[in-house]
Amino acid sequence: MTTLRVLVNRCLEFLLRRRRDARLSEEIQVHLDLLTDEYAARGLPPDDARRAARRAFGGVDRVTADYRYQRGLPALDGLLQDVRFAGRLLGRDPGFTLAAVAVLAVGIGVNNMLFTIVNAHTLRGLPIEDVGRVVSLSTFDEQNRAGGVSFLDFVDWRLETRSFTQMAAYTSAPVVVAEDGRAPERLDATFVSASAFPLIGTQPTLGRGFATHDDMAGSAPVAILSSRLWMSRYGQDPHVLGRVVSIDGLEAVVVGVVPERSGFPATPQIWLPLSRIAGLRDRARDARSLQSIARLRNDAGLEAARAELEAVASRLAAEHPATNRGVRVRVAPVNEQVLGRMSDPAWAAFMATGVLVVLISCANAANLVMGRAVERSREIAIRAALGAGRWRMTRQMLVEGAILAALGGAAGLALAIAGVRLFRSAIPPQALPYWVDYTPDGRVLAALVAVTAATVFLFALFPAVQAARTDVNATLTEGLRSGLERRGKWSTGFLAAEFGLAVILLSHFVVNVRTAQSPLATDDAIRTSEVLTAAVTLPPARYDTAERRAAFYSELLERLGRMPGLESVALASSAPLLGAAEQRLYVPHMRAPDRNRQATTATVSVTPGYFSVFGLALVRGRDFAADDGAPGRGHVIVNERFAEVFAGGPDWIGQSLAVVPDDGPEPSSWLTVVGVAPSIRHRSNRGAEPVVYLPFRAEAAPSATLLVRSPMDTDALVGLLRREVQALDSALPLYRTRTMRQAIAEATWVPRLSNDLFQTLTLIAVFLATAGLYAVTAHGVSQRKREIGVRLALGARPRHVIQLVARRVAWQLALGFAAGIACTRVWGWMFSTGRADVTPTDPASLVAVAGILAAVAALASLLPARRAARLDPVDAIRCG
Amino acid sequence: MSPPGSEVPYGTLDLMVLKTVAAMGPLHGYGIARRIEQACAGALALNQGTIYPALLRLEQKGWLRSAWGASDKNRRARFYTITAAGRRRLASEAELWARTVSMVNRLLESEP
Repeated sequence: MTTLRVLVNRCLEFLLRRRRDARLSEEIQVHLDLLTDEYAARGLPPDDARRAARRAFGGVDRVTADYRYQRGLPALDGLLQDVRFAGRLLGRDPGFTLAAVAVLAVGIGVNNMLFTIVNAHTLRGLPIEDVGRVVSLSTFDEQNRAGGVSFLDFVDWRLETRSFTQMAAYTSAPVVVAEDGRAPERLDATFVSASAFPLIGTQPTLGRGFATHDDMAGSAPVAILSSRLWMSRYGQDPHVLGRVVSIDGLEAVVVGVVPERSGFPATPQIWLPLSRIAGLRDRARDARSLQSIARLRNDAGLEAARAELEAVASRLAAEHPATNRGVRVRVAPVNEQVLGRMSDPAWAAFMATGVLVVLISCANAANLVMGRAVERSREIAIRAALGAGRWRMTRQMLVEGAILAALGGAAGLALAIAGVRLFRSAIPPQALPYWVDYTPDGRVLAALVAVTAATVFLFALFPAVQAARTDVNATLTEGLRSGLERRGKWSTGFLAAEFGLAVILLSHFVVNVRTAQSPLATDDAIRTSEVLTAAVTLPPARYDTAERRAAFYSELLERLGRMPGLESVALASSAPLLGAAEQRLYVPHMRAPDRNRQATTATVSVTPGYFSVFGLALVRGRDFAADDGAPGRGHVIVNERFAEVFAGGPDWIGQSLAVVPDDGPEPSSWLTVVGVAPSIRHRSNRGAEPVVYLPFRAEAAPSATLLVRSPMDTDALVGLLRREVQALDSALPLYRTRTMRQAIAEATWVPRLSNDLFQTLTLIAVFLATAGLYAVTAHGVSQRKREIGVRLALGARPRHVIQLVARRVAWQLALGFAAGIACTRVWGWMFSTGRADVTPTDPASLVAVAGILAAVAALASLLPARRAARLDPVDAIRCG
Repeated sequence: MSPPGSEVPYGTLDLMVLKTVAAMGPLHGYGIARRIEQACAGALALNQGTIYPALLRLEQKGWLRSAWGASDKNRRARFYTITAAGRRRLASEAELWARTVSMVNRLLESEP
């Protein structure tokens, strides 16, 4: 009871400590005055009376100190004092403070930025109500191949289990939406059970969700719009409810609009009831095209639910052996199923990179603090001589470190926010699923605080302990020299660590450059400006034969060819960098590059004019003619890379080859090569690869990419193309209309962004290491000023001095490089990179890394070395 | 927690202060110190300042209460008053002290 009261009182006093101090000094003053009066009354002269009073009272300072110790919270008081003192010291040395805070901010900022991204993708979870109880249901067969669920199985699951409150199935597919007065549009649709929206807790902002009767076969067809579609197609018209639209030729009524940040399962634009899928109920049990989620009953565990569903599955397997034998059920928390896991190698490497950068910045900061401790060693020695305890001095320096870290953390947060914003802006709109949210949440802030706190121990603890161990006697009598030697070793150690860590990133960077799918060299050959891409898909109902499709395409090309303002027009299976098919390749009497494997090649189907759209001229031979691909005119064009790989020479004109799809039969006839095209990339994740161009009309696939070169304004051009397409078929949407640049940006943002990010991080790491080397070298030179002065006075040439500095740098660099190779090996062992022939530790990579490091180190030590060589010996000896 | 350098026997300053305040009513620091010196009739060399940490300690424990008031020479001074808890504490401390003293006395007297 008393103890508690004392504690409460002490806390109060701590808060009121100013007033308490004032009270004490007033009490003491009154006391002294009264005593003086007393002595004066006894007849002492005023001065003597005052002295006698002081004697009787005892030491005022001692009383005050005891009083303070008794009062408030002395430990906290001391800490505050440390903070004030540290603040003053740091303020007095703004250069050091700024450098240390900046270095820490970069490390903490990069780390936090990476964590924010990982958090958004893997940790944050789906924005589903009580998401912990929602599970994803899927199947796997005897070969452990994952699959969805068939409609009939799903119905049985739902009827025969009791562990779930709701169960929903869904599947996604494109649909064509048309209505009077608006161009038909192709949209990403998701077909869902009526229970899906209540299951995930989505409330429409307008209208209603699906009702159970919408799910029944033969019910009035309905549709729900995403807010994105509501905006883009209907200008947020509130009267959109009740509108009748045609979806794939069948009417449906719009009944609802869903809010912005709910787009289950990823990014659909329109939702339709599952019953809308024609013939779903009649599909076989092994047509497992649906996905399924369910919400666990509050009293049901994951294991119980799994067991129950397994029982249903084995009953189904027994009952329908033809379709369900060996098919088992996987029940997994929906977060785990949909999101990646932190432990996925890609994310783990991402986070590990973040840790690396923090470590590098900590090693850097440690060296800065260490250098400063050397300069301060006299002050520290004096404080020690005056009785400051070792713990007290360590604490003081830790407090300084904590202040630096806190400032670094705050600046790091700002950097991270800016970095994430930059990262976000590099991602094309709509490319991310709806749940990815990069705004910092509690977890991100907690990580920031934790990392910031950890840095204190990483960069400040060791120098603090070192400083507290100062040999008072040696420091005060011998000056700085003795402490210097020992600390020189430690700062070399930190520097080596810094370079070692930077080498990990640098060596991977080198590998990246060496294996680069060098996007620039070949991609720049393509003239992407003024090229527009769009897509059409001919519905099988109306275009059931290749002849019909070919007729449509040739008529379209003919119409467009007559339009003024269009420089060239072509159709293709896909645009450059946006994909290619992979087919088996046959060549008469071919020496395959690898005899054990069937040769394959990328294939792209193109119409005449494809190459001129991109400003490319054929290297040899001719472009396709309009009738190439017709029966009896089996002509193809190959690219230069193909000629190199398969014949060792460019002269392929007139030769024969055949390609068949992966699952197709052996070829029955040969195709003749009529031209050789320059090598351009068709798949953004590959380098230059062999490509066979096939005449588009040979197959006349249902989907085609329309490519147009024209100086016209994009919107006008899109309008014009749309009109032409609809003049041929009014129900046919022209979709995915974008400039070629946009299309490439959207298709290649993942490798491009990760490449940019990785390059930036490498640059930061190398820059930090270089800055660290510069700081240590410059500091070393200024500490050895006197020695260098003596050497110069004794006749050393500037060359010798530079050697002196360079030797030290080279030594540090060698250590760092050695450490780096070791680290890189460990790293490679933890996160293996795909290629076996080019690794971060193969000789060529090592030479490149060593070269870069040496260049950078030379740069960093140039200035300090020159300064040393130009020292005036007299000045140096006098002031050193 | 006797202040270093005090020549007051360990732990007795608190008792003396409590007793003084209990006996004399509200007193300021000077008055308390004066009173203790008088009572001990010069047998004790008290550094008067040491009573302030003691006063603070006793106040923290809730045995004393303090308030500003006017001294006889009409100066503002802090006056200390004993609380009910303080009186109970004084009684038990005094009894403990008496027992300790008589015990030590018996021990010393029994020596030949």
